[in-house]
Amino acid sequence: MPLFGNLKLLLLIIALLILVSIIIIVSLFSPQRTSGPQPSPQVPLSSVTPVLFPNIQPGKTTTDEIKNLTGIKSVEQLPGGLSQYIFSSPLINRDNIITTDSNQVVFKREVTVDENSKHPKVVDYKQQLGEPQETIQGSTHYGKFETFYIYADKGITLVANPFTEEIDEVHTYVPMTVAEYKQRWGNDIKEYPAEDHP
Amino acid sequence: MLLSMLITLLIFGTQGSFVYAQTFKSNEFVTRVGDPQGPPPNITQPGRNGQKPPNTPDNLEQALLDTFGLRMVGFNRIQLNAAWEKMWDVNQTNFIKLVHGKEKVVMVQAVNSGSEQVNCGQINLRRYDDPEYLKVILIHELGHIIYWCNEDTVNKRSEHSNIYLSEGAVTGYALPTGGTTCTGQPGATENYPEMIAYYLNSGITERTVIGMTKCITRNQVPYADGKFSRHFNLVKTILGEY
Repeated sequence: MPLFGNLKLLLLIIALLILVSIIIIVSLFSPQRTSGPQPSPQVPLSSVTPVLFPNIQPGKTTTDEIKNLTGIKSVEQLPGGLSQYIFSSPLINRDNIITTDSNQVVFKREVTVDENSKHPKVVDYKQQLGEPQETIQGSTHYGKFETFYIYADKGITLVANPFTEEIDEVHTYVPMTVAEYKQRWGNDIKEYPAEDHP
Repeated sequence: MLLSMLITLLIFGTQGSFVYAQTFKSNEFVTRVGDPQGPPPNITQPGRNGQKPPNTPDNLEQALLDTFGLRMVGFNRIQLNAAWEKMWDVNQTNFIKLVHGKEKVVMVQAVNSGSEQVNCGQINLRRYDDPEYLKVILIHELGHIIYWCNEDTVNKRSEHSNIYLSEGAVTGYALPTGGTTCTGQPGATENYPEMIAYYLNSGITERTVIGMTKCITRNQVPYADGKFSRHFNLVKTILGEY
């Protein structure tokens, strides 16, 4: 009887050791161990894309659809037959704009700060888009440090404070080259001289 | 055998954990940018009760670094003393805390011309002979750091932008001329540090533009007689009572 009891105990210990070994082996070879700290869960692009005009897509949305939007402040005619539809934003001196050409949306600029002064972050976009093709520092409107994160081949440019990574604007447009973006939609890009206190 | 296997696995597991922790810490360190002089010292912030400066220490550079996290490089004793006095003067506000929004140490590099913010960890400041003028420009340049190196919910830059549009420029230096200020910067980015500089140098006639031929001065005390009341209320909200 004691022999049977000892055998039962031994089998129980062996079973426990096997279980613990399996748990350790699984944790040892899990992907986390080889890849270092895990990035935060990916944020769906739809949740970081400006929500003001989520359904307005350059290259797809027509001018007639824009005309039906509420909140149009004014419409300006630009050289080359382009039309610019202007909407209010939380910033008094920086409107949201949608530009059309030949009955199709070709560009939109959306101010991203919300009523609580919160902004989307560059890092959230980078998780989805990777590194930008080019970054350029200096904005006529926002100042000398403001940075353009240009993904021209994807038709997206982020305009953001590089220190806090707060995005002030998102430009969305028909995909093109970086040079074309600068020439067509990069009129806010500016190189600054040093400040000049005597 | 199982027991020895278990022990072996436990050892490997522990070592792996150490490596993981070291990697993570290393990444954290790399992402803290801008401190050009090595690790920051322990900054001993005096309390918020508007103290007068203590007896001027012999080593003012070290005292400014230890007390306020300002590494001043290349200034004479009169200039260092002006900075020391001014930091004590504003110490009861949130100013110093917000200057360190990104970096625990901010370098103030003496230059012969062109005072400006370089990044979140450095400003360049001319070696002004007039201590009172130095105090105004020192606060102005550090005000740029508050603007760029804190989030909007803290520095309220978007709210400021709308108030700037509504009330106009606090000083001639921030007046837009043909879309930009006299130095070519956007109005709001210069008006913000001006709003701070004249809040923390109250009663002083605007003087940021002295000697600058392209800029105009209105020769006024920015917040006198209730002027720019929305600016005043905003900066008071950001920095606290001065």
